[in-house]
Amino acid sequence: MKRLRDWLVLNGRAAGGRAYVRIIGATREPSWILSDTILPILGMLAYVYIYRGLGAPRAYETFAVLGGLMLAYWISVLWSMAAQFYWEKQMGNLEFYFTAPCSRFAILTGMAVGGMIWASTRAVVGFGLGIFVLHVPMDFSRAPEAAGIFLLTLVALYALGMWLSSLFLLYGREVWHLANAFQEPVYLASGLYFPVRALGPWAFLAFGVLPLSLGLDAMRQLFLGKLASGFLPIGLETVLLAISGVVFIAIAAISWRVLEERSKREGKLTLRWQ
Amino acid sequence: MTQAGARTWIRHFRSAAWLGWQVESNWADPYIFAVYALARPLALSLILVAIYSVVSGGALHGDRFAWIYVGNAFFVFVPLMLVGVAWTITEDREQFQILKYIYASPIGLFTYLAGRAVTKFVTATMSCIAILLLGGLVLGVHYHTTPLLALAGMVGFVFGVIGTFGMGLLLAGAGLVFARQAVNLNEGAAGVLYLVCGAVFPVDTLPGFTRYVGFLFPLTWWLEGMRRSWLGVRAAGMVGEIPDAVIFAVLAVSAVAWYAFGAWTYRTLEHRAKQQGLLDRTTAF
Repeated sequence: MKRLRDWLVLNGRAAGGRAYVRIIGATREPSWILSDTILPILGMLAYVYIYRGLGAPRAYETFAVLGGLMLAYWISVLWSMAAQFYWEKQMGNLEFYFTAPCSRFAILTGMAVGGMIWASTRAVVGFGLGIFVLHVPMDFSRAPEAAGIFLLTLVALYALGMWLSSLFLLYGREVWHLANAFQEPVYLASGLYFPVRALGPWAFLAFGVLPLSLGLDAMRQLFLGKLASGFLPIGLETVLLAISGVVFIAIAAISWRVLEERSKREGKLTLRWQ
Repeated sequence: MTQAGARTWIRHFRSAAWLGWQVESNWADPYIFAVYALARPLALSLILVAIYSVVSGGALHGDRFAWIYVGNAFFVFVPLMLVGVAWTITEDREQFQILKYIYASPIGLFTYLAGRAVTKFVTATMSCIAILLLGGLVLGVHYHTTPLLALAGMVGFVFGVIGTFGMGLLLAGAGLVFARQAVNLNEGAAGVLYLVCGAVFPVDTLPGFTRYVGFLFPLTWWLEGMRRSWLGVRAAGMVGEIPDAVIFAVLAVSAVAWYAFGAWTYRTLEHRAKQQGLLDRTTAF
């Protein structure tokens, strides 16, 4: 019992410490908060104005705002979760994680929690801008359900980030570029700014691999009802999201074990500028 | 510049361009690199296709769609070249930590940036051509021009590239003196230009004075000029009422002005970065 408690305390502290660094690091310089928050919203605004320029129904603008909300988290997953170990390797910090007595997953959990809080500053401002300034239509009668789906989506997304982070143990610039390539193509595949139904049969592919598509489609249906042109029933999307969260965590655990072992054998774990 | 000086400059420029190509592409074989280089801009175009298709009920024809599509095709020069030049500073200083060595070499940072810009230009041109080909061959975008507009388009293209490089130099200079803000500045610049320059919607859609902000940038005139020379289609609203000759003349003047301003600002900020000891700073951005 004592051993379990010690284990929990140690890993809880490690997760808290890693999250603390991320949160404090993001807030210590006011100009960073401003630039981190305001500038990324511009992309969302552009898509709102594209819909306005095309004379589309106002509900489509909600697609752009919800897409902007989730984009903040996807960027955080890609660059602050998946690619984080690339930066750590470059700075010579990665070896400290491996010599620490805590679980790797405690560090990853801390990174995820800190990343979610950091990304939320971006997301909340964009979401608020959409509702209070752009006045995009949204029905909040099912907001608690939408909040549940949102949290489930975050768990699945950050679990995917944990898996992707393991790739950086072995590879260098190749996966850095892969993370780069996971931006616009994923915005397309997940229907970030438009109903995923527009992808036709390809939408199933997006649903199979991207929790972003599932979460967005479900949230749109909850906020817009039939105007959302939902792809699958909300209940089914919720189940698929929960499954994808569990599956990604399991894959991350296996991938971390295999790639850590291999990168040690090949001498790539601390190899910089590869 | 003497003949020997020009030869030396060209040699430095070529070395920088070669180095730029290696940095950009030697992590993968050419086919994978080509897929990687084309995936992002093509995806961005297909997002617009999907949005237009959803709004129009599946119809992908007409001047309006072509106008949006071609504007977006030429906009790839902004994230790939304009922002790419600025990223060179952040990447080389923070990630590869070689900026100080380049500064200490006889090549000079300005020439180095110009050489690196060539790589960015080639990648952006490849992407732009791929998007235009996809539009013409798959999406049914009908390109047509007149000899005069084609000539104006070719000359205008060169001016657009000059203006884009000038704006990239401005951002690169900012990257030398700012720390983490430089990364957000790069991201934000592309976002602002996408929003205010009428890249994919007429500037008249924007509220209040913001609809006039884009007039300050050569990009607004460049995108409109390219649309007219490739499609003969004009923007809806106030930009569309401006005659072709004025569009291309304003493009030429604003491009040269932005290049001069960008180069001057870059040199000023480079000097400042040296004075303040910022050239080898790493901030763990």
